[in-house]
Amino acid sequence: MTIRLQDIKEGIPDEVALAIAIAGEPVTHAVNQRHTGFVVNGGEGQLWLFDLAWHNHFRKGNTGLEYAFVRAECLDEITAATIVGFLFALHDDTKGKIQYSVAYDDIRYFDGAKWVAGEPGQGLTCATFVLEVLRHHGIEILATETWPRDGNQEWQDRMILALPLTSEEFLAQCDISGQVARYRPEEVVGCAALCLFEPITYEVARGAADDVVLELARLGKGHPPDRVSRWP
Amino acid sequence: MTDRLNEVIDDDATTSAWIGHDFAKRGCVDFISNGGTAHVASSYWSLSGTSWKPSRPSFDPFGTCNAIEASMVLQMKVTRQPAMMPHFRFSEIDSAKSLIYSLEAEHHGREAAMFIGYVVRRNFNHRNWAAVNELLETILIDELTRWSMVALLRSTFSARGVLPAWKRLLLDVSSRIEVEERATVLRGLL
Repeated sequence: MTIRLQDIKEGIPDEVALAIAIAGEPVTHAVNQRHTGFVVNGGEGQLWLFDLAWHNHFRKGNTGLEYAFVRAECLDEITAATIVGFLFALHDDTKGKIQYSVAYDDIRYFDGAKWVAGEPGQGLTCATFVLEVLRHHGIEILATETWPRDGNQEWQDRMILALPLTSEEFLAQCDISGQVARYRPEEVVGCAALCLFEPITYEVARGAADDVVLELARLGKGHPPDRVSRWP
Repeated sequence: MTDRLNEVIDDDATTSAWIGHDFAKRGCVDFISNGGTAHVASSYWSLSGTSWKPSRPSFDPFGTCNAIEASMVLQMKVTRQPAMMPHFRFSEIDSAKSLIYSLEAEHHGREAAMFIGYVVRRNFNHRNWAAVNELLETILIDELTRWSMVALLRSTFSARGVLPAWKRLLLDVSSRIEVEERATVLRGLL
């Protein structure tokens, strides 16, 4: 099944309350790095992006034109409405303070709309934020046990060094770098587009992720895979 | 609009008005932010029995809730559940159920679902699991549409391990949804 992204400039159909957004290099300013979040349709052209942009920087704001989106096939209108309510409440209750971490564990991240994963080393990325909000409502789109734990240390080290962490948080994340799975934004978006009932395995997700990257390039919102290595 | 809202509240400084104000202020974003629901919102905000009707819902995501907030105050005032209003607290589940039934009876399933999410989150934030379990255990699902049924299950899913009534509610809801629709509507819950 081919994945087709839609340009945010064209708006979101009225019947879609919640979609998954993705942006490429024009937003991340980093080679081969995408960014994801939720886009909420308020009607009459009003769209809000809810995303974990950085450490303690969970945003609610206008969706930039650099984004594309997919409809999440697994979201019926009632579930979508429930999640939308959750996102607004989460932003209100956390005041945007959600920790960033390269690790994604099987722990409790939210109680109600309160962030409770406050231990050093705990947190989410933009991609695992999307995964966790869905999981919090009973929607699992990835078979996380199929994701490789190795091969991600370079990216994880780079993120840990860049994050504005306390010493304790820094050391906790250093301890796990290279030993935890990396869930890429394009994988999450690809799985959201494909997942109907069963969580998607890593092997299928990689193909879906390639489709997403190609789609971003088609829409002029990212560079195609064959140009990534030459990205300045 | 703010003046009008204050006037409404000042005119009727009862618990019901205050609660309507609070719920609307915190919850209104939920109402207007779903499904591009201008049609749902406009039907909801056209309030029979009141002299004031906003021409269309408006919402400032970073500010106050103005028209919607005022509308909710009025909606709460015209809700015909006088017995519940003076005693309403978010932890008082009987009152919450009354409002859910009332919204469902008036064909406002989406709004009932939003109110459920609001009540559940407020109680979860205070680790008031017992109140939420009471809600799941005692709510009359024959009074509900699938909006409220699914919202109850989804909004409490993450805490189902500490909510003994969750599993039974799931089974009850499942039995009321057509077999061919269960896999879709209850995806991930079964």
